[in-house]
Amino acid sequence: MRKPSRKRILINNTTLKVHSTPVVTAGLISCIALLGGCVNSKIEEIRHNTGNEPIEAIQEYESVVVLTRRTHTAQETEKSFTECVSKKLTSSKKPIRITKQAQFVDLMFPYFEPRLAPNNPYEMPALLAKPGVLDRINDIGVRYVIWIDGSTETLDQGGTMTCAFGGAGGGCLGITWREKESSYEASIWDLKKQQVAGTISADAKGTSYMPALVIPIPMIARTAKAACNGLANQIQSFLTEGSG
Amino acid sequence: MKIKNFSAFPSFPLGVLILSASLLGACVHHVRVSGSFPAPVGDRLPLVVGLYFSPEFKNYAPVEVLYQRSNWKIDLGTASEQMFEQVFYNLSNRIVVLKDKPDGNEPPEGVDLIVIPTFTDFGLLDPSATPLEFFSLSFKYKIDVFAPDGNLVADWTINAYGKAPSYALNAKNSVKEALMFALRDAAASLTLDFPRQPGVIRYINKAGANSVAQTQQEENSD
Repeated sequence: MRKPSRKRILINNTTLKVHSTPVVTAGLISCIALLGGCVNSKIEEIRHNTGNEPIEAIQEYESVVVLTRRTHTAQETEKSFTECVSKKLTSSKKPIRITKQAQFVDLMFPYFEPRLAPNNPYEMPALLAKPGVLDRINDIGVRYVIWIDGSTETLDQGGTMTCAFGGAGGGCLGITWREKESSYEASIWDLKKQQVAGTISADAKGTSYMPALVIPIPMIARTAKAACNGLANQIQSFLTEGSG
Repeated sequence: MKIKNFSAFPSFPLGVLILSASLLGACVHHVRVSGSFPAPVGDRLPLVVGLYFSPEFKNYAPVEVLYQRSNWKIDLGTASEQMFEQVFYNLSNRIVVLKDKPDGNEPPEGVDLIVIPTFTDFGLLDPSATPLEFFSLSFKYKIDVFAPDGNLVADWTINAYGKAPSYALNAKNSVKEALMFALRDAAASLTLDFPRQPGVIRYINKAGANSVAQTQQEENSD
């Protein structure tokens, strides 16, 4: 296993950090030993420091809401992924206060319904100017809204497996595989400053195998879990460390 | 040997076919939902709203035949009635559900405006009809708002849309979830669109302190 490599690029007050984490590089043998498929993940972080203002670390009394970007037309992010990110943020070493998505959307009704939710940060000032919206947000105590967008898709699959059963028993012979990619992006909006604080993206690619010599042994590459862990860890450090 | 015996009766396969077809035809999924809709952010409108649901509206339950040989009957009227009542309960000072259709000759007492919704369209798509693994559902309401004297104050159309992932072996839950999302979508549109209607704004400005809602509020405070 290699240590994650880090790169920082400064472009127009925007810092880009790249972490490349090959989770398993020891090859198929170690994969079999772990009974898991190989997953490679990459995390990228972009911080938006407008006017060279440092990004403030989140305070104890402030909370975060993780929202699924829901659209009427496209495939949308799995509910389980958003829940995974929220759970990771609350259960980390420096836990962050989380407002539940359903509770937040209900309290902000109807402004965070799919039809009306702001699509980009430029729509935020207009939303916050609507009667009662800013007061309600202050009452809830939400400082950051994190929009999660993305999905897990099967890129390719193949292989063959034959199974036969008879009076004396049965068994399978062959191998099948499936390549999956989980690609997610978290856009972090600062409601206090009414601007985008940063964007973090997580890409995890892996191949699951199911070899069978009498008994099929599934070796699942958990790409969504790897993306969730990577994204949550990065959001955690983004919000708790700040910059400057 | 048994197969040979069956084939000796030429009517047997035909009977099985008819029975299977009739069983498939009888497979109608009846979807009923009941949910709650949250109160909106912002102030209530100073109005007492009368709601009239026609028998056609209350009993509206469209049947959709999908490609997967399944028929879906959606109890949309009952669910919509609940949605309208909750939205206007949260949006206005008070609601009154009217039993009889109001007309200008006998104006209902104790209401500022009367809202009458009707269905104009309904559609349900299963995942086999789209490239997405979703059940999607849409419908339209036409909303008419009348003053108690029978004059039309505002009318507009609301489009509602909801989609939900296709759950293996539990398509009914997917359709229920899509229906709840669509009703919530309609509730959101109604909450924002009603106070924005020029006729409604004019009525509120004109009625001012003389509106039924204001009068009742003053009586209660005295």
